[in-house]
Amino acid sequence: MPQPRVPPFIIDSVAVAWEGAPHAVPLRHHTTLQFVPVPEWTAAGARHPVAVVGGSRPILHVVFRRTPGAGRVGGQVWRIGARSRGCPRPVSRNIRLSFDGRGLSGPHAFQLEDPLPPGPGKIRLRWHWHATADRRHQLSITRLQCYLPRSSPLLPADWAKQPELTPPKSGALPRRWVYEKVMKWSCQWTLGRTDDKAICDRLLRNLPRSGLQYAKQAWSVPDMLNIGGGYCGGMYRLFQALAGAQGVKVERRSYLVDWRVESPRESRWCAITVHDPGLNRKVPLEAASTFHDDDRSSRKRGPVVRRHVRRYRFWGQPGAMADGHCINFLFYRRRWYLYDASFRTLPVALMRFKLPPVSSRPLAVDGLGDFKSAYLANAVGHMLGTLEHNDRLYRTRHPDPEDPKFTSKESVNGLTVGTRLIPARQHDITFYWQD
Amino acid sequence: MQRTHRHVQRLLNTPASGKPPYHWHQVLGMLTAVTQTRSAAGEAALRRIAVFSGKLRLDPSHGLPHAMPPEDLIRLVAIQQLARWDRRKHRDVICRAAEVTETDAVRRLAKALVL
Repeated sequence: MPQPRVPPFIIDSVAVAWEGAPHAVPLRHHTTLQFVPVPEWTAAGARHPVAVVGGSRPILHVVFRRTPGAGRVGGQVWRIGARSRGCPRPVSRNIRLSFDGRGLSGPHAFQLEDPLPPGPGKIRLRWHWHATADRRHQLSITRLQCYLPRSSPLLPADWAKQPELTPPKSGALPRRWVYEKVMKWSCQWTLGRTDDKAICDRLLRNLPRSGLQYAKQAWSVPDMLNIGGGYCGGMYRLFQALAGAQGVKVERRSYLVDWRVESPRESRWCAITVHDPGLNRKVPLEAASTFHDDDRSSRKRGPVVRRHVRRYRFWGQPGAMADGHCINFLFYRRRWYLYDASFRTLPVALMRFKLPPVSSRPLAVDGLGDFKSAYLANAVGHMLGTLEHNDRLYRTRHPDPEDPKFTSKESVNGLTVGTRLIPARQHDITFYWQD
Repeated sequence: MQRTHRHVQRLLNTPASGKPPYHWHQVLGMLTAVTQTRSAAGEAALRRIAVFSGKLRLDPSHGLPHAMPPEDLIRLVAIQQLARWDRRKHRDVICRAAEVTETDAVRRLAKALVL
């Protein structure tokens, strides 16, 4: 009677992102901030995605489990390998297996025979493992979903906030890691693009596919992923994380409103106003309010138009840094490109622009090349101030807490001047630049 | 200024029992009022704001700050004003603000103010 072809051992687990694995990128869950468990594939049923730098030959750690009743297995030399379809296979190795009291071998390293395809992209790693001693035994079939970033991701300190960078109580934090969802989106959306600008352009254009909405109450990457959107203070970090997953360095800057009290009567500017509803929104979330728009042509002093509309107001604070808008920049082939992940799906090429240094001193937009005409005048429809116009004072004021009806009051808008009408050469528009 | 300080107190004592949440505009109104004129009560209010580590209860339909969470924005304004009034006296809460904030700009400014 022929013996049944029971394999003497099985694959117990396959680990890709084992501690210190070259080319592998640890992935992290945004909900729990826990890392994707390693080993990523186990006979017990674990199936977790992995990320490996495209074009590399990762080394797997494979653990074997002795099959109960399989007879003598330990001490024997086995030729172990795998066949594959559509993906590189591990190099076959001669291994003298030994098993511990639980029936497990130590981890055995298997490097892939050929490099993985270049990134960005993804690949399904499906291996049919086999072992040969006196005869060939089929072992397990292991399947792994593998994301392929273009190159090694940037350090998360570039875009993450302090709580994300704090090591967990149990164990250390790897130097490089990426949120699983960020890696997935980044590799899907930039498929086949290897050039820094092409990658950033594709990320910006595809961001609406994320389903994330502007103006949800989040200002960090994990919070945005958890609640499905956020404000620009989170969006620009997310954009950095998406580009950083492919090893592309983009800068982030926020331009904060500089509320200058210029005379007892006039202040400019109290807020910037944005008409665009933002990512995946049809209308701005902010409730409608009454604006007094000065859209006169540059040579004519026309009437002020009263409009009751929804617009976002990014408020400054007299003489102090407060709110503003957050954007990204890419330096590519000696030119700066602006990416506004909250409100635009196309980058803006800037001329004669220099990235403003982070500073608590306001800086006029005059010195920023065509930043105002190419970007600001389109993104920020109006600048809100306390200003006189045709002998009338349009005063911006917040509700007065001493007013008994305070809790039913809202801010009153002064004059909103079309940004494109504000002269660029008179230090009229200044911002605080932060990162 | 009594009403102002009562509102600030209510804002920071979250959750307020049964009262509707404030609008962001009203928070800005409170900030404007307490930073306008120096007073002991105003300083005390700003010191509380600077180290506030809870979550403000706000009605989001009337807008929220865009660049940073509301808690950090009011902290940013508070530390600037406290430093303007008396940097040495308020050094302790400015240092503490750098520890509790999640926003790089606030942390950097707080550290710069106490250097």
